[in-house]
Amino acid sequence: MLGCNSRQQDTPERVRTAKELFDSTTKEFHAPSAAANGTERLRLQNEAASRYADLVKRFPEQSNVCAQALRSLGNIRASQTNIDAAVKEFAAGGDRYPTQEWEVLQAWKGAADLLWDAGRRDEAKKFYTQIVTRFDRADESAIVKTVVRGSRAKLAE
Amino acid sequence: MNMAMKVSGKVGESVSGTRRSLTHRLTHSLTYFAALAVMLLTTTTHARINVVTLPDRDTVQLTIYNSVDLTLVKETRHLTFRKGMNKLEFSWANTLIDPTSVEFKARTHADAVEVLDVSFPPRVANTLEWRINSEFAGDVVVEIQYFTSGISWSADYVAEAARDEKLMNFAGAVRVNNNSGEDYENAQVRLVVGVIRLVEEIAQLARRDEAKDKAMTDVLKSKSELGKKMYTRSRGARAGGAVGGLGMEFDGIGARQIVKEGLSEYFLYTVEGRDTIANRWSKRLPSFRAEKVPVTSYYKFEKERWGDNVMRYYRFTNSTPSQLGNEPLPDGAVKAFRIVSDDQLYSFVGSTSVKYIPVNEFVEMELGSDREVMVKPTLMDWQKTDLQFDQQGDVKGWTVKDTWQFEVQNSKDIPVVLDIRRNFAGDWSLTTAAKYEKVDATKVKFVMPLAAREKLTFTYEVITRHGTSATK
Repeated sequence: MLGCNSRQQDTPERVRTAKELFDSTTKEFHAPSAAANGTERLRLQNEAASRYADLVKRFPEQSNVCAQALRSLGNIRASQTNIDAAVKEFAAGGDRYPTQEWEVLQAWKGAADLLWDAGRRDEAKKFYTQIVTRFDRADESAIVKTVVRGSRAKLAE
Repeated sequence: MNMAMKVSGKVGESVSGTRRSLTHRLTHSLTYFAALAVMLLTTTTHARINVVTLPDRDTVQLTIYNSVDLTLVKETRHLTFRKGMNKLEFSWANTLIDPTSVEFKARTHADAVEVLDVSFPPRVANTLEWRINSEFAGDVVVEIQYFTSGISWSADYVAEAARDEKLMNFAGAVRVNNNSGEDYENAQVRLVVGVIRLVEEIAQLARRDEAKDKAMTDVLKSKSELGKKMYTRSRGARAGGAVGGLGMEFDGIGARQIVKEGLSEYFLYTVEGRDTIANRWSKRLPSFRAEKVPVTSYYKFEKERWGDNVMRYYRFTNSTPSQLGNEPLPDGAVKAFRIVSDDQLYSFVGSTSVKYIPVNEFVEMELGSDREVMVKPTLMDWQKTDLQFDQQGDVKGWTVKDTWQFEVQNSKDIPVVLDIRRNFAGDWSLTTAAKYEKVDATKVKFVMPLAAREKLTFTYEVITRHGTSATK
């Protein structure tokens, strides 16, 4: 898969271009795919996935949009019921862009819930454990605390 | 932003709930489709799950921080809960809502309603789903609060002076600009005037390219704490209340408590009434109007600052005796007019901007030059005397005596006050029959009331000692 290259120059131009590419992909392909059906839905999803992957390849130093792109890729694979591919993309976001805490949290929770709902509870618990280990902090926001609480509950089941 | 609610139970709910849902969906087409997808999905996979209601907001309050691009949104909705597990979706797609700041609270039956978990459904981007357990079946008032960017405000004022320029009506308005991606219907608008250090730090970090990095996350935690702090206070009794007749509320509770905690000094305004602040719209809301505010029409001349121009000022005090003074006035643009005829015809006097005006503060609004008040300085005589020489024959000390004549004319049909400033350097002394006041070591001012159509002349003589002639 595609990796982070911190040696790339983080210029304002690259920041802007990466953001525009991400936004246009979301607006023109990913979001409309949720409302489409059949082959059109598949076409939109594949186009969005291709563009997200291209974004991560071309702008690996843009941590925020790359982390979002990887999570979006995971969401697309999950919508296509390709659980293994989805989990792989979710995990990649956390591995490559660990400073993007909000994206990491969403990706891990997405992976965990997907696996849990598929009955793969042992695999899901690995992600719930990661969430609790990393985000169980007293000064976290309310929404993060709720995610941690929910994860802890799943681990107790 | 859109919310969809799914509860376990039988299909079939109130007609009014359905109608509200349709209205909401039409105005948020993107999230409507997402909600529709949810409906189809849940209908096929979970027969006992259905979308029950998608209610509009009951109330929404925007607290806009003037100094930063940050708005605290607090909205309430009536939701119909079933006993047991309920699911509620919140989407921030295509908005500038900060999802990490989103909080859900039950305002009624709080003891019976508990948020168990949050998930992020993969079927649509930028959506979270609360899983809420309720021990209560029925209507629950819930509060959703979050921060968003993209909403800003600015103040502006209109001064309408009477013909004699001794009184004026002074009205303030607020222009709210919404580029947040979200419509806010019937919103109560609150404006934070002043600077909160913490919020400024948030904004500074938010502007960084790595907007969501660790540092940002840390600050967002703080921001969340700030939000909690403000909410805690806003629930208390409103000590400020409506300020008589001005249509502006000053809620001093949070301000005073924050000041005690040493964050900074700020004031919270609540604009009277409610208004719809649509996305990509700019809306001007009236905020107050004070009548018969005492004003002084004041003119200044200072060659070094304005050349030959005479500058016009309106002076007043933000105080109770001046029909103001109930709250500080935020920075803003001012347009001044004057009634010039018996049939109330207005003439534009000038425009300017004012800085933050605390209560009881004297205000001076510069309204540009006015050719109807003329000041003409003329150097009538110049002498160099008392020359002193050193051993080489070079001048080492001397005295200069200037004699100036000032012609002053008020061509207006009303009396005015004229302030002429003169600047001197070195060891100087002034002789004149005119009344003057020393401003500082290098400046004097001649302040003279001028009657309508009055023209007068005065002179002064200034002696300046240089080199070894200087005595100080």
